[in-house]
Amino acid sequence: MSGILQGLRLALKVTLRRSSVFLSISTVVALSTVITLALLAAVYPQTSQPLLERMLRPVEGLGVSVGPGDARLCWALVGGVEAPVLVADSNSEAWRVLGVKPLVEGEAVLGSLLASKIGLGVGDTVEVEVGGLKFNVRVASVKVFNSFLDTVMVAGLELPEGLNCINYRVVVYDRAAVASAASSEAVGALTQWYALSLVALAIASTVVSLKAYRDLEGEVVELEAQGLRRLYVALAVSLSLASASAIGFSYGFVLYSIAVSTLGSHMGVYLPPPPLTQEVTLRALVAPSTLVLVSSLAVGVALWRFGGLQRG
Amino acid sequence: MEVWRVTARVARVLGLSLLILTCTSIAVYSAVAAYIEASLVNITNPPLNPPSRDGLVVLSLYSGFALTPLTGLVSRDVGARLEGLEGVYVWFEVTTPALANGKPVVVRGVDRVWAELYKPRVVQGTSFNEELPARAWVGVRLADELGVKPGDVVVVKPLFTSIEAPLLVAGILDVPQPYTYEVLVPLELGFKLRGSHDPSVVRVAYDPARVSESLIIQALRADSRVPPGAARVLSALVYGGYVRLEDPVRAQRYYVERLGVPYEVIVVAALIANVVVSLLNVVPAWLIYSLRGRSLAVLVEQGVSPRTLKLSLTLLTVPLVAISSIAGVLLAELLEPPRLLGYPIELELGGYLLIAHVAIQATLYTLGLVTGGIGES
Repeated sequence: MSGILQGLRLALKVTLRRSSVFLSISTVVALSTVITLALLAAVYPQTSQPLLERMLRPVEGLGVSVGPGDARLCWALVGGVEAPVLVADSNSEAWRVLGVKPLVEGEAVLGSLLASKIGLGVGDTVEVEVGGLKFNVRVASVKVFNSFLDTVMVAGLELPEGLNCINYRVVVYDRAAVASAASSEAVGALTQWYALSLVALAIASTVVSLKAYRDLEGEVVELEAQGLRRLYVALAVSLSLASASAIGFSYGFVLYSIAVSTLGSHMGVYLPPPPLTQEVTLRALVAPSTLVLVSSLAVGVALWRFGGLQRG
Repeated sequence: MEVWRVTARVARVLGLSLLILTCTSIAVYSAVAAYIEASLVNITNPPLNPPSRDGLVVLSLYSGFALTPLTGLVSRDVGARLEGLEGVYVWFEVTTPALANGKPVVVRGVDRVWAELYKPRVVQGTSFNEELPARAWVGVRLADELGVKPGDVVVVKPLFTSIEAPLLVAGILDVPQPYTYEVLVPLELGFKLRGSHDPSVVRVAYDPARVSESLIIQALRADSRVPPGAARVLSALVYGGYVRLEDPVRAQRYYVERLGVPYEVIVVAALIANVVVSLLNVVPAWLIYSLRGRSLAVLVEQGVSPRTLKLSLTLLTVPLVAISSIAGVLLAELLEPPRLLGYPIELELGGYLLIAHVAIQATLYTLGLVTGGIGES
């Protein structure tokens, strides 16, 4: 074991003495920094979720439900105009959200926009046709809901099951979900940066390894004369480049933190530091380092086993 | 003359495989850099403003107080100030970020004037009719993504109100951007989904041959201290900048700049990103000295000066590097663009940015050629 470590130590000393190897390491550091920045840009919007939830507090609302709901929205002909009609049981929770007392059979509350479209007012009676069934309802009031419900007739009707209606359920309406979905969409695109940078890293690592092995040819011959195997040089180069990738990760993380805090102070708002989760660590640290290690070793094996591009 | 003779010999020494390796690696690095650069510099420019129509200039007046042009509200009075001006069309649009069948989009309320001016072509279903309640028309590009057709229900979850809206899709419209990426509803329904009575944007269209810009500015009661030929757009009121009314790109930049990030900083950050990625270009240049070191050293022994040799290498490979760099930019443009609320961010690097991109890539490669040592390996 100590023999292996000594061999590796010697190979590292010889390898790092070459200025071109050192510059190759700098190259991998630079690209790993870019990869980390790309990944952090992609995952950073997640950290703003608590901030969004503070700004856009959840409120009680109505959400479309796939299963059974608290209310039903059916398309109907209201006075000859196609419009949505909302019905709910008298003990439904939906009445609380609607801000309307449970309606008795044959009564309706018209949303303000629908009322103006069909020209109806309080006390008017209108024929409502739902799924072939006809009802006469009396407009008890016209209400400004200041939401989609302004285009709806809320009616006290007993509608049979089986109609093609949409179920509504009383929900905690998460407005932050709308904002975070938008940021998730941007994240999807930013992840392309990351994927593209990984491809570039694989190519860069191959090219720099190729150069390093070619430059080290003289040293390898000397080391072989001392009884050391070529594998140690390949391992030394690969480990150096993998470490360079890890250094690039730390640079990227620090740079991103500095950028975020500078921007936050400039904007006068608190922007949390980038997250250092297990997933981020795996994708920004472990994946690039492993990629560099494997590609560099593969180049070494290919070059020394098959001769590679040697023509010089 | 000697340089060209040496260049021919260097070309034979390098060989096709090494040139292909160099060009491929640089094209990939260039694509990475171009994608990052283009995403950054175009992030301030999602297509929020419609094009001019029938020779009319279209102005867009946004709120200056809102975080984004899509979430702000403008007083109706702004539109009223322009009423009665002959040859001037004024209409309101109201926007709300929302989820449509779970996808983040913008729902926009539009009216009859908009429909008359933009004459949307009906791809499927019925034409836009603001009298129909609880209906939606979907821009053709968004319809492709949502996979909806007339008769389907699109469930809209608006940001500002707490009732999800199941809307019947009445038609698919072929309209210019930004509308082609949006769910379009009658203006009144748009106000209800936004939970407001005020529009998000007041559009003004006028024929420049009949109505002068200064007349519009005067009617808008914009700041009288504006420089000649410019106007302080209402959206820019609170952050003190002057932008030409018909320059929507700059108006959008003001929204970003107001948050403390000047556009120039974004451009510089994009160029720095390119420089960082382009550092990789040094390696293919060094690789030439590593892989062809002995052959190049022989040329030096035969009397070719190292300076001439490096000049020949530069003459031979830098044009190829420039072409590879442009190929990388084209490759980046083929990638899926980043999207913000359904609007694609263009991945084009035009004009001086393209020149800067190629120049940086070529310069760092040349740096590698200059700093590399002949016969080092």
